[in-house]
Amino acid sequence: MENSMETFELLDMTTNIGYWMLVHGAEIYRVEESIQRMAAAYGINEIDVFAIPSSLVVSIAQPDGHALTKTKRVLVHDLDFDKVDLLNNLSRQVCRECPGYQWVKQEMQAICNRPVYSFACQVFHFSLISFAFTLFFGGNFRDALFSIGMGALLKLLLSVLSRFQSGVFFTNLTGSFMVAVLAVLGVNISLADNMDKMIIGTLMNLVPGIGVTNSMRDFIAGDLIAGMIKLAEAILIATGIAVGVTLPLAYLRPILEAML
Amino acid sequence: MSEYISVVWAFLASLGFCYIFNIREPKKIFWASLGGGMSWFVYLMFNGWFATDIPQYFIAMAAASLYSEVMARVHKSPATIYLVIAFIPLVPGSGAYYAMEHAINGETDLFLEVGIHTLSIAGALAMGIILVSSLTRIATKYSFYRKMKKRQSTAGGNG
Repeated sequence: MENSMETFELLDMTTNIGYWMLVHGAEIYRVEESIQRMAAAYGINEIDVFAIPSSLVVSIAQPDGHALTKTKRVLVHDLDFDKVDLLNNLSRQVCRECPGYQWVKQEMQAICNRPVYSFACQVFHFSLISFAFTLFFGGNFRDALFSIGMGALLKLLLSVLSRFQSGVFFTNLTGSFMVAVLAVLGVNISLADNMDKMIIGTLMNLVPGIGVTNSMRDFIAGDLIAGMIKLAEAILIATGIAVGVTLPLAYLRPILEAML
Repeated sequence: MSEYISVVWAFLASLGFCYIFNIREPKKIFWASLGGGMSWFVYLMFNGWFATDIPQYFIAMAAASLYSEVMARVHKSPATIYLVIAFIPLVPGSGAYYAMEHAINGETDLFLEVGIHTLSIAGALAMGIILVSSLTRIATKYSFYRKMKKRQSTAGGNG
């Protein structure tokens, strides 16, 4: 394969690979290192990359002194480890083989068109997670069966909310509010026994595990701004969940218990 | 022995998360979910060894990080995939819930006790990730440096 590429093509290629990695939830150091190594493979060593979860800036200084810069604003995050994995492999392959611009572009398109699991499949696995975690935290099988329904409804609610692009705080607040209301109702009409286990088990679906893990990995790699942003988002989600659960537990439960 | 049944639930929950995060290869789905079961198994294994469960969480998280780094090398894919899934059963969800429930009931002393315990668990988990990831970063950089040096010296010898 040919070893040459116009500088603007190289800039476009590296920025796009980095952009999609960021969107699908790769760590910051992975994005920055991938871009730098790809550029180095094509013989360009003066390249500056700055990535945070919401933005990506790549700048190449050409030998004649002209600088080319490309900025990408990352507005949506769509966790997808399959694509992170494949993009990571693609960037390694680019470093090894130095392929042409068109070939890389086609490969990128193929990766971006990879399928995601169907909506029904995701609903099923939300239910599976609720079921397993209710038992995990010590609920009985009646609770776990009730949690299956709550998990499915939670996924439906989240998908409706994502259409309106409500922020993470509101989404998680509404989701946990609904789960807590359902659990309080379920226990009071004696469909289930342990309200606490069901709420914890179902809300594990919303817990920002990936945010915390990735922010820790960013902190270690020295990307303090990125780590702070992800940690702040995780804290925001956790606060949303806590507020959403508090309202039904504090106000709905006493009323229902007085009535029934 | 009956407490070890929760390892199965941890495995199933991790399996669900593999589908939420769109991991598509069956091989990777299996090994990632196994990481979730494994991290909870390690946690249970150290039951009763320490005065509190915080060191247990630290050890389990360190084991999960190590597992994910090994799996990343074996399957040639980013370690985060395995780490995020293996981390899931260790999330202190119940601590956070009970702390909040105590806060609603106005039991401030219990709220503080459970809340601080939950925060300590979160800290222990973070330390577990930080320890192993830092060590692997150093190891990777060291082996890369040695490889480069070896290549230079052999190139010099031939020339």
